Amino acid sequence: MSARWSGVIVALAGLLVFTVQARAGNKPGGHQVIVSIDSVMAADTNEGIDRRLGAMASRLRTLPFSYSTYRLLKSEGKRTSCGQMIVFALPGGRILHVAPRAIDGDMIAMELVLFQGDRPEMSTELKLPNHAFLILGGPRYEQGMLIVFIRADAPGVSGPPQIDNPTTPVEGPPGQ
Amino acid sequence: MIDCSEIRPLLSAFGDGELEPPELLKVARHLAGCPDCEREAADFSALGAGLRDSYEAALNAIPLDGFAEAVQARIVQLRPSFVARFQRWLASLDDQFSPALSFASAAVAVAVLTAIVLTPYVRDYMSGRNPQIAANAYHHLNAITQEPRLPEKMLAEDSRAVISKLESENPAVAVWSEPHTDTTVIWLPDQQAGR
Repeated sequence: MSARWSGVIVALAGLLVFTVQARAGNKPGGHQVIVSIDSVMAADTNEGIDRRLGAMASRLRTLPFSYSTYRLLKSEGKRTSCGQMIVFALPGGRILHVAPRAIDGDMIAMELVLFQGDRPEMSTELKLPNHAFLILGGPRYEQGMLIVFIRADAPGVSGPPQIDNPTTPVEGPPGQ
Repeated sequence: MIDCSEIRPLLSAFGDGELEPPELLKVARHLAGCPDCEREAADFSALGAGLRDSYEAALNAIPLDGFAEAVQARIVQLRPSFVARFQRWLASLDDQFSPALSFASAAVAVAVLTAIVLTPYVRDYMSGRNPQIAANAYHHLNAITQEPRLPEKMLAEDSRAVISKLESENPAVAVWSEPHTDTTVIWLPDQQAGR
């Protein structure tokens, strides 16, 4: 076999190695992730839907439980990278720890722990599609209940098309 | 002294040089002290030499002119193996076309690999995600009402999100998915309010 054809085969092998390494590079930390948290109070106090909720209201309507009042309590966004935990203070004294673990394809692997004071109320490990929402709901808050919208965005990672643009302000330097 | 009857059966092989070293040594020592056996061994050697001469004479009488050429011609007529033919084909391509062919082949390979890497379906396949998971997800409710803590239990297997672990002090946790809005819900019902 000629040296020229051998070169083509070597180039193909190199590309395969590059592909495998690129895929392996998605596994460990280093990817930047923006986590946005919107805390909403749901209650039956006939106050309607808070206009600040915007497109989130449509998601609230898909929940099997309907309330006459949805009020946006707090919006917060933080930038982190895989392997680094960030902490959100939620209304009602609850604390939410969010730790993105890795990017797997267009999925963001993360760990969430919800604290009520110093007591862990719920913890979960999951993979969420990029730009997708996780709603954490049910805990009691004032005269209703707390619904927490958690959205994870990994810039530069493919994912389903964004349905709406979050208005949550994001903390942290972009280059972190 | 070894008996001659023990040596004589070995004399023919001795003359042909076919004995193992211990027997060869034994026969040689005996022949040195036994003229009869030595004579018989000489007869065997003469007989062997005569046979070899007649064999070579017969062999030389066989006409072998052109034998090598005939074998070579026969080899050419035989069908070569697939690998040999493939190598010959590559060599002929190499001779016929310019280096541009090699470059074009490499470019096509790069384009195909790039397309494979960038295709979302393949990315999903390589990342181990099963698109089927999302298919039956709409409005499915998983109510976990057994133990307060369920370590390492697979939950929401039919949603786009994959929950590999969920622990809660709440005895009734609901998990479901809204795939058309890419939303997964974990519901921790208030135990006093009932919803």
